[in-house]
Amino acid sequence: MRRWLWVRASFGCLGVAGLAGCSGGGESPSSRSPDMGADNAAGVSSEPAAGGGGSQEPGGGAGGPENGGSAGADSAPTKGDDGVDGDAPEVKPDGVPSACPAAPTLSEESTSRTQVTVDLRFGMQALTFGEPNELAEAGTVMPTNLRFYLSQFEVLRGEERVAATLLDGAGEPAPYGVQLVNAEAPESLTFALAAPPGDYDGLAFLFGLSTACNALLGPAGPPLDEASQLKWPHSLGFLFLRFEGQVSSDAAPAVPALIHMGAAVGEKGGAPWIFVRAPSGSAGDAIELELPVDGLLDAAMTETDLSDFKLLDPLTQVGPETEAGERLRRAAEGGDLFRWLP
Amino acid sequence: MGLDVVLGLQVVWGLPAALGLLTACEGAPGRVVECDGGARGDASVGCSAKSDSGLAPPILGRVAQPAGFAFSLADTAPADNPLTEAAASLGRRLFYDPVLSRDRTVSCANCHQQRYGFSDPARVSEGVRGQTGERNAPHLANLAWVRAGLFWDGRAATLEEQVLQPISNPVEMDLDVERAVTRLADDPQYVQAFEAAFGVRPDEEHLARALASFVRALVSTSSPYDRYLAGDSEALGASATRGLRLFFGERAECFHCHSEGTLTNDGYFNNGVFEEGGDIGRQELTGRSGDLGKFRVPSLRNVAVTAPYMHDGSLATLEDVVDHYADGGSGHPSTDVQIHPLVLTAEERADIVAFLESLTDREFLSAPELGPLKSP
Repeated sequence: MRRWLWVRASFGCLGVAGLAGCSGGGESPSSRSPDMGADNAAGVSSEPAAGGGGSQEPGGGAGGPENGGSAGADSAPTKGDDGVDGDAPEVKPDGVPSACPAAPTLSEESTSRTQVTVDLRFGMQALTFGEPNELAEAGTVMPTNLRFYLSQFEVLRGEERVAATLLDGAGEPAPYGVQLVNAEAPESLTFALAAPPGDYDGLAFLFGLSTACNALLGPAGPPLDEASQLKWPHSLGFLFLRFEGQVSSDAAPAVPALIHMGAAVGEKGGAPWIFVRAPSGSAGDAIELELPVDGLLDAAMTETDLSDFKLLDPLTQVGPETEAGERLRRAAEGGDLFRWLP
Repeated sequence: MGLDVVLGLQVVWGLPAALGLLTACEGAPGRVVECDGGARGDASVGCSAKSDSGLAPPILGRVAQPAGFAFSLADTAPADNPLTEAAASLGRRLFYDPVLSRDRTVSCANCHQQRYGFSDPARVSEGVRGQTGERNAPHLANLAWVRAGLFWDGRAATLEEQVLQPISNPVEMDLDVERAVTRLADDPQYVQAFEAAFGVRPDEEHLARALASFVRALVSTSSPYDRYLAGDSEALGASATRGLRLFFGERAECFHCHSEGTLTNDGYFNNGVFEEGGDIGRQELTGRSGDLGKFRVPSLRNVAVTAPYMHDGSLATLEDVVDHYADGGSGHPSTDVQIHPLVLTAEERADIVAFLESLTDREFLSAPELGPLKSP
């Protein structure tokens, strides 16, 4: 079994001077404990427990709770706030919140900050958006649209998972707890998280939206609005990732020019959980996550039996772009799409 | 199940909005309130606005929050240019005044005519001395909610930035903005109007704010599609309903750019109009290969009256537009990969056109508050 080394001072006070309790270490952080309800008052909705109610569409939450799997039932808190108050989102009887609040709140314990940067790569190079990027084998891909959601952030200490709160540019909890990463908008590649102070050795997040956010009805503000280009009116829910590009004629025929990833019907049909562990010997209070876009394309070409694949709206025709998206979604779950750079 | 569920869900979330609209004086932003004298106001900007010279109802008195829009109109205005009746009224006067053109013959309204959804029925508009540009005049509706750039190429980040550019454009109004301001400052009525709206004499910054305020107030909310979004499942006829399902479904896939509610995702796409040697669009701004032939996705509000279509006005009718997409565009290699030939019957094409026609808001096209000032 692989041993993970502790990351030193991974949660500090990056850029936030004078914040109370902002020591970069010391007191034990809270975990998924009876305080989970309070943590989730920060508005970070988690996947509903298997078999739990709350979501309106068939198939509800994401996959199982095994290593690399979704939060699911195994990581549900043993106790939680089972009431509803004016500030906290509604919490279902099993203690798991079901709301997708537009204005999350921050728990008092989450006094530490860390910055996360998504480093989009293509092969050995940084991704060049809007220009040809060379494929390892023949040909090039020119991305003309690449955007995706990340949400439900957690920091990891061994097997322990601690909710983290996504912050906006002003240091306030970000709307819906959702980050829209847009390759054309460099400012969207960097964001801050708040969590209880402590040492952590990993990061987990959804590559997409929680079931609660994916079930959001009616007009919503950014980043869940029309300008996200990820609204999916014909089906229930949102796109989690949208890739469009131009593939050169000398590339392999299977290289997809279009990938639209969203949720699927079924218990394991939600957004994939991504788990990244700090590399050995890493230290510091910022996290750089590498995401190779050619790796995305490879994942979207994974040979997968899609005979059971249905979009949340069963009357909607599945096209090649949604099939590519589903291959990506299944390959991403528990895979190594993202890498924590030293 | 399936699409019926989707439609049912639209009714579910639309109904509270509809109920809200029927409740007077709730004070919630975006809700319509009844004001004295029968005028209707947006609660977030108040009932206190007086009409411009008393000759028409207040501009902001007609405003409601469109169904399918997340924010109220007031929330779209920047902090340094909050939306007020005085600013919007001043902007309206300026919009229709040819004093802002070199030879005093061309106003904003020459190229943005209300009955055409504030667009121009000409392929390209005529500026001073009969000069013409190269791009079709965009229609103006619901621009308050645009967050990702204005003009066909997105070169203006905000309305305040956009509104001054046609004034100084040599083929449009061809008047240096400084000179425009001088003209306004020499007019006692404008001096008074600027003082009333902003507490300052005419200057470039407040000229922009006034015009932006009026354009921001051009809100189109009363089409049959809006009524459908608000919960009236009978608002569209059978053909338009079929067209809606095609439009927002994976058959026609129009929603990839023209999303629900706003009918635009504010993005930039090469929709297959570009041909070699043509207008390079957004690439002129960014220099990126991938932006060749990309133009801003316009909202399709009132599209039935904003012909001709596309950035160059090259498509004369809605039928031509549907055929263009069904044919897969021009076939140039830069065409967005989502544009591909569609298999649509003649009836289905007609259904899509019927849906597009349901986006027409007759009230917006004739509202006197948005038209030119009438002489006393």
